[in-house]
Amino acid sequence: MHGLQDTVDKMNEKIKKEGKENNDSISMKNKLNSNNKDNCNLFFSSIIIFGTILVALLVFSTIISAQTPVNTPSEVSYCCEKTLSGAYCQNAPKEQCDTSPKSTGESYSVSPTSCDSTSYCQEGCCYDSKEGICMENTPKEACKKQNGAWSDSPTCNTPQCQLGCCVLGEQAAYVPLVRCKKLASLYGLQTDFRKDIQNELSCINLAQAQDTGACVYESEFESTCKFTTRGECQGDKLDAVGNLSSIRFYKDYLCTAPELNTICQPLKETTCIAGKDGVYFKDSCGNAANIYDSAMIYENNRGSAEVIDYWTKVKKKEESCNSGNANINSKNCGNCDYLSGSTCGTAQKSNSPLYGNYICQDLNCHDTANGKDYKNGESWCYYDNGKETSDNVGSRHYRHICSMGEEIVEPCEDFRNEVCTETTINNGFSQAGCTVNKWQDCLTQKRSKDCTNSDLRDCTWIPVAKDVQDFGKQVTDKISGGVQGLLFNVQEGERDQGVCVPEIAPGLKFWGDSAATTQCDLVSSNCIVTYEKSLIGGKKCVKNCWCESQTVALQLINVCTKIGDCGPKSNYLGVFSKGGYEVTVKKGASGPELQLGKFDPSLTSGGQASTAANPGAYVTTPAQTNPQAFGGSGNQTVFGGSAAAQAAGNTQTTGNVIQGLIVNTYNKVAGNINKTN
Amino acid sequence: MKIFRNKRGQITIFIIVALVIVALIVVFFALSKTGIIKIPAIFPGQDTDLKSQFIKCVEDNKNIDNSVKLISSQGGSLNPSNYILYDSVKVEYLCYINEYYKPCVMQKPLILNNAESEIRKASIEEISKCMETVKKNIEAQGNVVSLGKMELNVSIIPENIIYSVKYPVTIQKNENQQKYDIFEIRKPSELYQMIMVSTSILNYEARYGEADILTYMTYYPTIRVNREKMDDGSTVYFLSERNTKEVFMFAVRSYAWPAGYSG
Repeated sequence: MHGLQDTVDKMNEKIKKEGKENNDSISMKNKLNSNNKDNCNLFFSSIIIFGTILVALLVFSTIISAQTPVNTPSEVSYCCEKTLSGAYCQNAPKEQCDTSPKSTGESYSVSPTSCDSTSYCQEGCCYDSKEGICMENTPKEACKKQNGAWSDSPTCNTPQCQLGCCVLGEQAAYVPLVRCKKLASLYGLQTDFRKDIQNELSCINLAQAQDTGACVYESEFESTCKFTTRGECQGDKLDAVGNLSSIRFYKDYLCTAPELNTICQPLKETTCIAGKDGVYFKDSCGNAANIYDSAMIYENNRGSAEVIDYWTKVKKKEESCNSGNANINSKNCGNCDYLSGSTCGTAQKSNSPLYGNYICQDLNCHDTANGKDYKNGESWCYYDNGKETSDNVGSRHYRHICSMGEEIVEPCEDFRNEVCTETTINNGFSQAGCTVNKWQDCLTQKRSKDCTNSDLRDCTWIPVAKDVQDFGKQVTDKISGGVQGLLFNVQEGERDQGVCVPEIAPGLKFWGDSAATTQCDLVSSNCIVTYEKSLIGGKKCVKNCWCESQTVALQLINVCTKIGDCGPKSNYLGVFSKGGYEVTVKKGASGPELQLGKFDPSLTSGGQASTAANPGAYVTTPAQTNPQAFGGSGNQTVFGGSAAAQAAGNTQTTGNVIQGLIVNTYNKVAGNINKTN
Repeated sequence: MKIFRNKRGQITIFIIVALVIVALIVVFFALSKTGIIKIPAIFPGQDTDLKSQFIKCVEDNKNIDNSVKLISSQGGSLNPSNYILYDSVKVEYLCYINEYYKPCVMQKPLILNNAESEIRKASIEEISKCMETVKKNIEAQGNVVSLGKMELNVSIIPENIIYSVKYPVTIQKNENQQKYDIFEIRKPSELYQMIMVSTSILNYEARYGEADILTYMTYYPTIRVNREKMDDGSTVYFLSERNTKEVFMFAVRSYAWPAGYSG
């Protein structure tokens, strides 16, 4: 045994000299790691006979308190119809309620109950009769204040909010009737509301199936034309119609069709059309024709039957140039495809098309933050420290989105209350989302199976590490009074040997709130080690000797780092703080500073692994090596390599970037030993 | 052709042709849409001068534009009361709950109405100032201008914000009198679309919490939707129009989760 064991041995020698029997309490105290200061240390102190701290009580009381809403006021909560900050229907202390008079003269209501139980804060639907918009979960007073019509259905299940298909030319919207009327009036179209259409998809399909064609009519003594739908080819929908009887609709014909004999002539100009992907030719009447194709310029190919046909009948996307391709920045073809990553947009000088000013713009994202290219609509995860399971202090998960050629960053909720999850569909189309990190009840799980039930929680099980002498068995066999703490308390039968911790440790708000420090105490543990003094001098460990094992300290520190911003950790910038915990061996004695090293995956057989599975696999970096180190060998000190190898089979691939520690020395204890020596 | 042997006859013919041409021109300008549009340009008068001066003044007024920007960045309110401070901007909660794990309660259900009313409040003074400036200009030309009481109505519609100004104005010069009553100023703006997307997001937040911004951007490609989750569980949404760069911001606090084991 190295490190801790050596220290304890030396301590034992010292105690032997003193010639008395001692009970030493080894307690591991986990502290907050704000990573701003070295606030977390490892100490050993000893106490005589009684050294146990009621950690268990602390653990359970804190866990129980975690299950209740944090901002629930300790005093009686009132339902304020309006708070002083102007919010409607909030449960708050009475002094935060607004009791000023409303516009009607009566005061805003306040009652010592939850808003769910009051009539004045009953949530309903607020209906805007002007716009035809329905807003859910609205209190009556908030709705009345804005001249809305309130009804008592929080989900707006009312006749005026009943959705239907609103056909607007070649487009459609799945909205209530009044909204449809409003939209139709805004776009100068006739209201076409189909309440028999029961879903949005059918509604879109219906709009796409509309007849379109050339609407020919007389205006200012000329035969002109508008390319529109059959429904819009009516006198009141057309500008300056001379003779109503002259209006004719020619399905699938373009206004430039020679046989229609209108004033509309083919042009070289192009345009973008709202709701459509492609670049379209224009005619002299301002109508859109077919998709831009440089080979179909009328002026250049007057005699060509193909070109005449192209300017006569409507061609589908599939019949147009280079179909099925995004045609990004193509100079000759405007058959853009949104799903393939292109849409009509203004051309830059560097990539202008042969004719017109519009081109199929690239909507994909290139050379993104992680160096990769993504398609339009793809989303992916991004981590502060580059690793999915990074839980460094202050680190956060991000969802990146590629939308219209832009890389948009959406941070997941802070304190790692949300984590980013990514998957791929359809040939590698990446989709990511911020999901709730369900870590809250990890510490209360006693069974490995319950702990790793991903339907219920996002936790990982750290088994009790096995030392060369089967550490776990020792614990369960020899556990006796004076042992407390989550990891130590592994009585066989009551729970599996190990501890359940969050898969991705949540962050703690360690500033301006001392509660965060208490939270790190959740995994603090105690163990009383009893020594028997022999008559002829010296002492022998007789009870809970396993607690002296270095493996125990490493285990506890690993658990500590896994429950939050506790223990030795790096921050999101990668700056490592070796504090975050303390181990006391002697009551009142301040333990020496430990030298910390970083976990070296190369020392394990399973790649990334938890400390639990590789309890001894820690190395020190040259800078961290303490010259007083025990068990050190040169610049690289390896502890318990054999134990690590043995435990590799238990590897928990949490992927956590484990910042381990190496116990090089306890200055104070060592100092004592030096003195005795 | 006997008729053209007579010079007087020829002149008569020319006069008739000239009259017909003039008549056609008059008919063209009186009846055709193009002609109606071109008349003011050809014959500029005081009538359009006052109107155009006033409209131009309102259109170019930076204070009105800045007020609209401020209102848009504050969730549609000029002076928000229930807000979160984001980068020194008071972003109003449009849907809010002060507790954890609960859906938000709608605070400003009719955002469009509210924004219209707030823009009206913020711009009425500037519009009035514009009329005063125009009045001075017209009076400097020797006219007597009398102004009635101004009424302003603001409508946010697709692609525009319409300022409908009911302002009775009478211009007197010698015997001539000109009267104006209603002026309509349209300022290009994509605020309508952004507000409509916001209402949809708010409904989603109130029912399920956390709307998917990618879905909205896919449905409305011209609108960019960003959001930032704050450490108190609030979410600030940023909607921006990709072409005009206009921004609409609002805050929501719905289904908030506490930080740490006990917050």
